[in-house]
Amino acid sequence: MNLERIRDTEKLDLCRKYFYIGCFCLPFVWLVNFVWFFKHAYKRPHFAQQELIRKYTTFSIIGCIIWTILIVAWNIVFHYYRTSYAQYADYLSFVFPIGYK
Amino acid sequence: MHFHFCCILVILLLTIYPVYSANCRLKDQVSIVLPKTKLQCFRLLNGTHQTGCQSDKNGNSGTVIDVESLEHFMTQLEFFKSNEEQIIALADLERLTPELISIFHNDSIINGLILYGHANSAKFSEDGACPSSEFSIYNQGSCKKWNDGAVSDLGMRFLNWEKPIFYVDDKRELSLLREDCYATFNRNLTNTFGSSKQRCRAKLTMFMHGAGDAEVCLRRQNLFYGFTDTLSMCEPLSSYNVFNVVPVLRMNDPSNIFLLSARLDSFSSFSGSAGGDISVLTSVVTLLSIANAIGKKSVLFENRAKAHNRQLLLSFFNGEALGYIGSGRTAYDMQNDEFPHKFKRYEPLKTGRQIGFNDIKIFVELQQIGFSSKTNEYYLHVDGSLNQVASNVREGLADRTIFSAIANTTPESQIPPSSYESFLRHNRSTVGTVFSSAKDHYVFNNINSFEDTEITNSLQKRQTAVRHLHDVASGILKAVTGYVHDDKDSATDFPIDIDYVETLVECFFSRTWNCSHFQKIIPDYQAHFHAYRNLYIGPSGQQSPMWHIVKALLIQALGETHATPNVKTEDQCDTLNPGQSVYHYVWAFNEKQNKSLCYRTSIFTTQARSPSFADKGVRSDFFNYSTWVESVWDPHKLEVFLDGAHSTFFHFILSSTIGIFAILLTCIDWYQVNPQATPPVIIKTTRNQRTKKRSRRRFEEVPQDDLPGTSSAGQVVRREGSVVRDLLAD
Repeated sequence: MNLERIRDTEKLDLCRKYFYIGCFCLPFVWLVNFVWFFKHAYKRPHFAQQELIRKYTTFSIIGCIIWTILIVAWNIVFHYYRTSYAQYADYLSFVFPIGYK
Repeated sequence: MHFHFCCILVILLLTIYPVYSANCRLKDQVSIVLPKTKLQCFRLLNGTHQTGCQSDKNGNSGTVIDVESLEHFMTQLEFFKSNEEQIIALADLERLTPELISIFHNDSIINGLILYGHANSAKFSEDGACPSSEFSIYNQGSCKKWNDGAVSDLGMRFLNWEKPIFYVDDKRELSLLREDCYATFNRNLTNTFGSSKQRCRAKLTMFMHGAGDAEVCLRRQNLFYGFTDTLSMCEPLSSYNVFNVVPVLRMNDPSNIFLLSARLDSFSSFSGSAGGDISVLTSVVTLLSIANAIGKKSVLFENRAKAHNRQLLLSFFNGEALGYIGSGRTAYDMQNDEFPHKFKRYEPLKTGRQIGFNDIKIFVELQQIGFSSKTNEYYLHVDGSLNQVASNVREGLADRTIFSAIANTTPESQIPPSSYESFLRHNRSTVGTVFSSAKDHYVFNNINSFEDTEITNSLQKRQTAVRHLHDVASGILKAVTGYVHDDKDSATDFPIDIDYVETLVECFFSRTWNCSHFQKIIPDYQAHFHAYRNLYIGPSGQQSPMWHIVKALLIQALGETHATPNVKTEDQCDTLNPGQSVYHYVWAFNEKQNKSLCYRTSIFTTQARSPSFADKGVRSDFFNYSTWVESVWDPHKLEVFLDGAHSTFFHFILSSTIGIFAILLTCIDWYQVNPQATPPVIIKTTRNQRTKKRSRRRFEEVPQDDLPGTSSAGQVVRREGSVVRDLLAD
């Protein structure tokens, strides 16, 4: 879809829809939302819907960053404690290492 | 063009095809595989640790270094450490010392170990200095060092090596490693000019699947979610114990049992080990000789025993060397009143008696029966806490014809590691003794290792063994009848057959167990299983054939054929087993009549599997039972190849320079360098009005209409300025 071809009201609608879809634990949708509407939210000269688009893109990127922090933190904790709390880690794992603990 | 392509293809095929078809694959020209190693170190795991060896999935490689002397080796080690170059150490068993083992184990620059030679005068026991100390009834802190021959205090088998160890016994392969590889290329590497020369490397591959400890390994195996595959990482060690009670015990018979036992297993760090002469075979042959002597006049023996209401229980425990698997399981079953099997009631005369701790009046264990040129002494060991009671028993058992000395006991006396100790852990009041060649420490230096083959390797020792074991068996039989018949001299009526001892010695003390006697008497004899000499208990899928052989020999020695004269086929014989639990009927070969008959025996086999493995995992409250599991491994490989010095610094600098230069080349604006170059043509539609504002003075928007031969629809063509001007000028 080429954003250039649609009207600004439709752009706002899309941005809002993507934001709400991303609320269902979908950080990549938020990232896509941010990247896609970045130019229209921040770079273009002011137009009627720009404030709202800017709001949605800002919230999207903030949400995405929070998710990234959570996922990275969980990844670090899991792998750091994987061998010491091996029992619980094994119940969460699908693939097991062969040949090392 | 097409013809040229075909030509090139044909030429390529002609050159490559002969190379492949002549069995000279490039890989074979680079590395040599040594296929004849039979002994490789493998991994065992218990409830808390992993022990043994591991290599990378693609093998551990390193420069081959033969350990010629300790000092020289240390210098070489320093050199390789400074170069950060890993080595594979090549060592003679004769020169292995605890210090050297500790260097091999701890130093990470040693990436693998290849052993060769024989420990003729050196000590090479792979067991710990205090064998099975974690299952001892005595204080852990005061571990008594029974095993002098231990090459490492914890036991070479029980160290976590994290590197592969192979044993090379083929002469050609050994000379390739020592002379063609080490002496030619690697010996002079430590000189200053040597560091950049070619070196000869070896790669050892023996990848273990299991890791961590038994609990982790079994849990992962059970949780695996591969819907069609199974993940096999490790397996619990499991086999069978063999028992024979004379005379048979029925449900309501009074029982006073003299338990005479020997162990059936040994171990080694190496898979494929054939060791176990002194550790196992001498005691087993002694016990079987006694069984044979009794069996020749079994009616007389049984009648005399019944007169005193006493029985003899011949016991062969399996898995003793690795945490008393067999005797521990037996004791556990006795505690739960499930020995020899779960109680099932039939008619009183058809129900066998359950045996418990109270039924065992004396426990005698035979251990490490051997002979050396120095001493010929045996000792009866009793536990200090049973000092008073056992001393009297011991005096009764002692026969001065073979026991030239008796160890003095005090309340602090300790028995050597034994199955009897395993029983005492459950019931401290079991009276008994351990009959062993050890006084304060083991006399033999190769207990529980693959080098425990001194009798097998020497014809003279085998001949001595026949006489010696005959004498020991005679003495023990006196001890047996001394209790069971209440009369030591009764043993003279049951002479030990020296020909039988000779047959057993010839059959057991050989490299393969394929003597004609075994082939005849073992039911369903299969050479690939029964002839493979192996005394390690193994996981349930790969057991040692030892218990099969012992059971077959007991059937011949103590089984009776007169009770089943009308049974003519194997199926008929099998139908006699259900419905009663007193006897066990087996279809086996009878030498006298030269055909198979149905034997009635009082043999029972019980599972020698640790109670820790009840469900699929490891029960963590049962850590005072053995928790050993064996890891699954990939096929092993030993390769030798030549390699250059791995100094990659120059290569790194060159590659980086070229890389950076190449990247820089792409950043240059080539159209500034060469304005005459052909420009790109970019087609722009009128609908898209927004264009980049960057100045592109080279480009000029030329309306489509001005140009000859263009299509309509308002397309604008942008072209390099000067060329267009030239065109327009025409």
